[in-house]
Parts: sequence; structure tokens; C-alpha cells
Amino acid sequence: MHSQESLDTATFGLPASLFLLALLVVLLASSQASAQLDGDGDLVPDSFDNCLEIANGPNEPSNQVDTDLDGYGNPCDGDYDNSLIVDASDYATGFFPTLAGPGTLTDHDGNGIVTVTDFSLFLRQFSSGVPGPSGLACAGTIPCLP
Amino acid sequence: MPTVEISPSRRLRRTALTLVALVLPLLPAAAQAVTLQVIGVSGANPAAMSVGETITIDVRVVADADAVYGLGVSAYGYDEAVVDYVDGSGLAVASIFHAVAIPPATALIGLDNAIGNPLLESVIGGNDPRVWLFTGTSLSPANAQPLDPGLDGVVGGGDAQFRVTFQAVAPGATQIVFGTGYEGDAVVLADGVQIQAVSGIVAVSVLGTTAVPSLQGILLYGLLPALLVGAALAAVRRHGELGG
Repeated sequence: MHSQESLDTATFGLPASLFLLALLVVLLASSQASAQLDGDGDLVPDSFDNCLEIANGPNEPSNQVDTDLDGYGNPCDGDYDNSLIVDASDYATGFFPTLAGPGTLTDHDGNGIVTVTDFSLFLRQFSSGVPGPSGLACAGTIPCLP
Repeated sequence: MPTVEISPSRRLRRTALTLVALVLPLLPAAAQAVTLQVIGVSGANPAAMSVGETITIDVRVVADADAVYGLGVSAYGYDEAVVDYVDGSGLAVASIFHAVAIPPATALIGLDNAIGNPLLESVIGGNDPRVWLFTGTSLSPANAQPLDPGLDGVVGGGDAQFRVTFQAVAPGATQIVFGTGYEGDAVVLADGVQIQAVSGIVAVSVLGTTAVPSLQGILLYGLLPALLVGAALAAVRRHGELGG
């Protein structure tokens, strides 16, 4: 009798079945929370966000736009020739000729014109040497359709 | 081993000094690397313009030794109901930051301007119009020097690099800002860090054209009623003459 009671209330004074149920709820909640992580606060969960470190959500004109479908959103994609490297040739043949005009790939902030604020986004990637980072597993392959 | 007692005030001072030593390296080294300097205003008096008059403003870019990778500058902030952009030109040479001058040893290379002449008003999104003066980028750092040529193309002349003309269109007050505050403009430093330049500001006041309204006032509120009264008296007199 005593041993049966101790078995039922062995875990924090709860019946074993109730404890398992609570454990399941906690596990589900934590997995949900990790799926909803949004590091740049742009309302797009990281696992779906094609720019993890630059806000490009529904409140920005660049809202997840990925013109060349390489899985890197335009704000964090200075790799215009899709070589997976952001280098001087991307600047010389991609960015510079479009400065002060309308751009597609080079209009990183999506406001309709290529300005020095677009250049500052390019320069960030030029410093790191690579596009992104993107939260999409298929980033770097064309087409990357999440 | 003897222990040394530290008084509370001394401990506090030591803690404060430690904190300052930790925080100081984190502060930005240079708050502003570029200044837009208004070097002349000609034409009408901007503080007392009349409708139809124009002012022409000369602007020059100056910078400290900081390396600049990108620069976007506009004339903006003006109330179009008060002043209207008429005409403007920028840099007779193709670029800023001593592209033509032989730079001193400490100087870096130049920064090309992607904006052509004549300068035009343009708009980004739902913003008010602005006159885009300069936009230039480079993967190599640039910095302004006193030797930079201006509109006359002469090295070391120190003259204006941008010249814009505005016309007064209606009474009111406004200001024309020369700076990097318009959408898309900025000073870009290494690694894409953006800062704002120190703006040059010209305050403009367009006075009401007092002569015309007072003449209208005389006509409307003085002469016109007098004429009406006179006409009424004449009618009464005529009526009396006919009746009598």
C-alpha cells in the first residue's frame, strides 16, 4: 500500500500520469518558443527570415524581397553575381553603376532608389565577405523557395 | 600580513574611476566627420524677402581627418508654400574630395559624385521634395581637404561646391537645411557605419507685400462704402427733386 502510494506521487508529489502530461506541455511550449525566435525583431521568425540581422519584415519596404531567389533577402545580399562572395567586383559591376538611379538588387532598403544608405548595407557585407546571414536552409542555391 | 583599510569614500571614488576607464573606450571617437558649411548667401535678404525675390546659397563640404566611404547630401526641409527651388549646380569637376587637386600626403583618394548638373528636385517615397546635391561612394576611404576644388574648378580656391537658388512665393517663414537628414542620405564610415553630418541651415522669412493689401483695404473698406453712400444720397436727392 505504502509502496504504491510512493510510486504514484514519486514526482514532486504529483501522480505520474499528471507529471508526464505537464512535462509534455512544457516541451511543446519550449519547441514553439524556439521556432518563434526573431533576432532582428522584424516579426519574421528566424527559421523563415531571409535576413537574420537586418529587419526586413512586414513593416519595412524590403519585406522579405529576394529578387534573385538565392535565399538571401535583398537587404543582406550584396552578392549580385551569386558567387557566394561579396567582393570588389560586386561593387564595380553591380552597385556603382546603379547609384542615384533605380535599382533592383542594389536597392537594399527597397525605397525605390539606390543611395548611400544602400551602400552602407553593401559595405557591411563587403567587410564580412559573404552575403546574409539567412535563416533559410536553402540559402545559396537558386531557386531557394521556402 | 597586514591589511589596509580603505575608507568608503575612497572605495567609491576608485569604483567610479574604474567605471569611467571601462566606458571611455566604448564612446564613439568622432561624433561628426563632415560639415555642410554655408559660405555665402546672395540676392535678397533671407530674413526679409518679398514675394518674387530670389536668394542664392553657396555651400561647401568640409571634413575632419576621418575616412569617409560614402556621402549623400541634400537641400531639404523647406516649405514649398513659402519658397520654391529655381536652379542649382554642383561641382564643376566630376568629383569631390580633391579628385583634381594634388592631395597632400595625409589625404586619401577622391569620392565621385553620381549627381549631374543642373541639380534637380527629387522625392523618395512620401517625403517632401529635396534638391539632391551629392551622392558618392567608394570602397577606399576619402576625406575632404581645404585644397578641394569648387565650382570654379580651381584647386585650393575654397569656393562653393554647390550653389542653389530659391524664390519666395508667399509670405511665411521656413528654413533650408543642407545636410544628410533626408531619406537615403548619410555619411558612411568603415564597415557601413552611418552617421549624420553637421547641417548648414539658412532661415528664410518672406514678408507680406504690405502695399497691395492696404490699397485693397482702402478700396474695399473705405472708398467702396463711401461711393455707395454717395450714390444713395444722390438717389434720395433725385427722388426728392422728382417728388418736389
